[in-house]
Amino acid sequence: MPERTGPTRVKTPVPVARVGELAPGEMRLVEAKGHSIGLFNIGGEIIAVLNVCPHELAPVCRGRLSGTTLPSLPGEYVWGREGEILSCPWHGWEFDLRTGRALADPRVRVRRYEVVVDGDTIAVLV
Amino acid sequence: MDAPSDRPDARHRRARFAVPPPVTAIAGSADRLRLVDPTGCAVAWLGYGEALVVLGVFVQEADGRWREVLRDALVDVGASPQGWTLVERDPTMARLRCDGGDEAFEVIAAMAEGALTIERDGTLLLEAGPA
Repeated sequence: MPERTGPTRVKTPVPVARVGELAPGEMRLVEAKGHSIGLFNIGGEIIAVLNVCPHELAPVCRGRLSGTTLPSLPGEYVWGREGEILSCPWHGWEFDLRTGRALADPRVRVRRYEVVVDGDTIAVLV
Repeated sequence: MDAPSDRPDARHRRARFAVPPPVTAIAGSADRLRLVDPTGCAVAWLGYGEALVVLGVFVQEADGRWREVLRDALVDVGASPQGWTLVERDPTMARLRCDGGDEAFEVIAAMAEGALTIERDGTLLLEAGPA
């Protein structure tokens, strides 16, 4: 389902980086129309996130990328999704970058932007 | 490639959006939400519970001071709500569900371009921002 970002407004693509500038597992902060946005390369998928945590407005994109524990049987401990979970540097809120949603409360999410890759150019719709 | 910008200020370099202190919830709006403009130039507090209330909207002036543009405004949704619940939110928008007895519907509150808008099914219910 498309992510709801509020009332309909005209969004335009803003070029922010070149594909070769963002290796898998890397993050780069860019700015588009005054929005501070973290660009993540998660296994080849480019994900753009507003650099503001929904908890206390911290610069969430400067947090650590790691994984999380996965559903498992009693007595088992399964770690997975390495590099897909963003932890806010202030209070440790964890977000699934694939969906933007907080692990602890899926109603809460970081704001994601639609990304357009045209040739070698990465643009975000703002 | 350098990141383009049509807003050469340095707001995006702040470690944290500097917003004014929270406003107080009023009767019937015990749960509060804070929404910020993506550039950090405006902030709004909403209260929900029995009613949906805009507790306060502030916009930042060029000198950095915050100016209040709206306070304690009941949002008229054209129905008699029996309660509001949060569906989802990010730092800039929230989707709220209204249970109005026979009908249930959602509204979207969002901060963009320095203003708060609240819409129901594409109909603008409220807008507050710099005049």
